[in-house]
Amino acid sequence: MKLTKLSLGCALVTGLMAFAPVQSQAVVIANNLYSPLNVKFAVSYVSGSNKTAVIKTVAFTGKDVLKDAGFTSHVSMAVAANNDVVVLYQNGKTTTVAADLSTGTTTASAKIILTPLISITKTNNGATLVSQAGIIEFVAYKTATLTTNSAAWVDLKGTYSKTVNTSKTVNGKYTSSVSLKAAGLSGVGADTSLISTTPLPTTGSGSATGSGKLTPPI
Amino acid sequence: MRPRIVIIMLLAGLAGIVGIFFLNNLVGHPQPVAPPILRPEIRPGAPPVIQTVSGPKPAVALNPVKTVFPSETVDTNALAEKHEAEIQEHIEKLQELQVNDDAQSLQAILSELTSPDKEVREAAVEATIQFGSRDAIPVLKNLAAYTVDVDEQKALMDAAAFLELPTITEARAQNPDAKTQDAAPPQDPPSPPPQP
Repeated sequence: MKLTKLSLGCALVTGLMAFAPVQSQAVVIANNLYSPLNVKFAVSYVSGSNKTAVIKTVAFTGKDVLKDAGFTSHVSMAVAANNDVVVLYQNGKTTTVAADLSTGTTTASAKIILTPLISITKTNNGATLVSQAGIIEFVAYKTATLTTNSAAWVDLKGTYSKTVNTSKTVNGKYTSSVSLKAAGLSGVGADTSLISTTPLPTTGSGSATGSGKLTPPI
Repeated sequence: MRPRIVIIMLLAGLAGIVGIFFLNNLVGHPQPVAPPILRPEIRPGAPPVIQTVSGPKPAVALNPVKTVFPSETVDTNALAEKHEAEIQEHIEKLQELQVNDDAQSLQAILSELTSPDKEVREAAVEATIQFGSRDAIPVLKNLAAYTVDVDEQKALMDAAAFLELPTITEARAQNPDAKTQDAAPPQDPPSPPPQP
């Protein structure tokens, strides 16, 4: 009886491992912490013409952006400690940087520009907490791809708050926790599928949180 | 007096002294006051979230965040760090689930909307949006109706409103005349000042 239960348990665990979901949590690659980036946008546009014209709003998230830009499954958007936006690809337990959107790819580009206006640093027994707030600009565009024949871009601004918590180094490692929040972004965007190459009113928000163990620089 | 009576009286006196000593100790060292239990600010009678969504039971169940009561001998800093680590674990799990497209992942995300910890609830709302399923709309609205905290209620209603919007894919389907040329990308913004 016990052996049967054990066998069933092992089979269940094996099954669960086989269908394990994509890992999107913070990941450390080459001593760089990448935190999952959540973004969402709402673009207003005119649908129809003359008497039938109405203002409509469409919504999309970072997940939609990646699908639109032609990235296949097992990918997620993340932000590095230096605010570079990247696409992470996970193959089993190995996660790699599939694309650096800050430098741009042939199909997509995304940049986060932070202009800190206020900042404080607190230290306590080897640990450091840096809190800052200021202006954030999020710029992204994608070209027409095989997945979608439309091109799009957004350029949004707003305020942000960011905290970076760095622990005391223990056994040659320290923990870094990052939290970036930008709730009320607004600006312009465009999508050729919405029959508009001119700027459209766009709102959005973004956040990135994550923590991981890093090795201090020598 | 008989010696037996004297002994009884002495014992009674001793018992009294011991009693006073214990009472004194009790008054001198009050019991530590336990911190308030973290609870979601939801009105009584709120229906369980899981029951409002159709679909199979989530395979990926998340463990509830444990609330630990500090005592005189426990290091409160260590407990706070442990609690923070548990919260971070839940948030990372939500981030992991939101990139999926299966019903089990959605159920697991929705179950965290009633987490006792506010940070986890906020992350669950964000994960629900990023997951992008309209199946979550009635759950979000239902929960908002029972939520006392105005900010959290607004976050739930905003999330529901966002999911109600047509997606870009749906809008494209309604616009068969979609242009295929590239939209002009925005010009490179000026370089930001050096960061601290």
